[in-house]
Amino acid sequence: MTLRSLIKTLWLTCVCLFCSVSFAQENVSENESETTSKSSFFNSEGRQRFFAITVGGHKPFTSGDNFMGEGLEGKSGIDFKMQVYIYKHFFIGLATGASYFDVKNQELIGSYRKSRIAENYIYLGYEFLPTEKLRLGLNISIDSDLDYKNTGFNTSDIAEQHDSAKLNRYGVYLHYELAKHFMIYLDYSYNVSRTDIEVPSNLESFFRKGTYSTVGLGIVFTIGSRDLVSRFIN
Amino acid sequence: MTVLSCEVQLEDNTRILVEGTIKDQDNMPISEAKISVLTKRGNFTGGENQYILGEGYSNADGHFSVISLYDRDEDFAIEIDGGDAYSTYVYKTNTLEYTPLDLTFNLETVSLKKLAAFNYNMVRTSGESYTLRYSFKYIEGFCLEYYEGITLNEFQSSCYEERVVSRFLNDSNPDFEWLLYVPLGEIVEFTYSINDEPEITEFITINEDNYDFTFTY
Repeated sequence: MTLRSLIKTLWLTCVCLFCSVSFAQENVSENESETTSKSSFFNSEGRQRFFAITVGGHKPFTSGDNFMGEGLEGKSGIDFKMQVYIYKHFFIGLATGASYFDVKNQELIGSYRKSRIAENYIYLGYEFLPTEKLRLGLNISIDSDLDYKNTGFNTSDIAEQHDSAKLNRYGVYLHYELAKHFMIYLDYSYNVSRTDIEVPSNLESFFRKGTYSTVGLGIVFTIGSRDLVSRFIN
Repeated sequence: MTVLSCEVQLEDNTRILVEGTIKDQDNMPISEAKISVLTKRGNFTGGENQYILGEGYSNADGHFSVISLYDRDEDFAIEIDGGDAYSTYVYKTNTLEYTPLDLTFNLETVSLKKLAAFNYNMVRTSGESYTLRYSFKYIEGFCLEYYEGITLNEFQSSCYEERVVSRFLNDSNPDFEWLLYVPLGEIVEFTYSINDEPEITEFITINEDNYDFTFTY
């Protein structure tokens, strides 16, 4: 099973779990609201969440002296993420999304006009609470799967060509709480794509990794008010 | 139901490098020549249903370095087109059987010949019923080299070969004008016969970039 199919399966599982926990939450919300609130930058029992789902879009920006920085120009992207708070504000998440690029220099990468990266990755992170309404999250990918679908050839007889890669992603986000379980987010990530592309030895450094950043915006739904470990311990 | 719409399946996760230097017959570099990496090009002067995998241009030193996608196909070509001013060169090979070391096609030095526009004009001035049968034998400004691995296969190559164009002019078509691109300095062999009389052959040395030739009969 590839990481992509694993993430899709986990996504479906998480959506089902999200729905069931949401339903169950109605029964426990009264008790949880009575929890004593001890708030700090690192922790707040009152603002603890169990699950978060984010949906949004982003703009990718390529950079560096590599095939992405020199050959591609970012256009847009979409993000779907689901994260579970394991212990307090430490979380693990699944993400699936896509980034879209135009080819700006075909001489450097091949005669196609567009590239779409399907991004699937698992990430770990921690959420800080700098103010009453803000959540500051830091995260890093731990396993990933990228699929570059290259299209826009001079003939429709060539539909697409694919390249694959692994992703090292370093992200930071801000969630602004509009309601207890509804937020908007702004995020930034720095992405290093480590490709499997076979190239002549003198092009190794140019193709072995591609770098791009993303700036994203979207909405967040959360459920639950206890982390995963607390649900078993308490 | 399976829909088979894609004829060409490019190699995933692969890029090749095509490099070399382009010079003319006087050993001067040719800049801005177009380099195309192609599959299913065919063997003729103009490509047929060719698919472009990579493109680039030579620099001021005549050097080119093009990164391209790759296709394993019996008809894989690298075409160097110097425009109307120069001949065209095509490197061909079968990439089902041969992939170069380190994914690099190094064509080293490619020589293109400077072309002249040979514009010929046949005009009838002697009145009706006169006929003209003529032919031009010339060197085509096109060179295709077919390689099996790193060995040139001359049998499948076609490099600066002689071509013949001929025509018969009569009352239906008494005049004719056409343009040929011929390597500068080459000789065009003009053979003609008026009213089916014995053939006469003239040799024309193409010594100008634009060579106008008018023949009246």
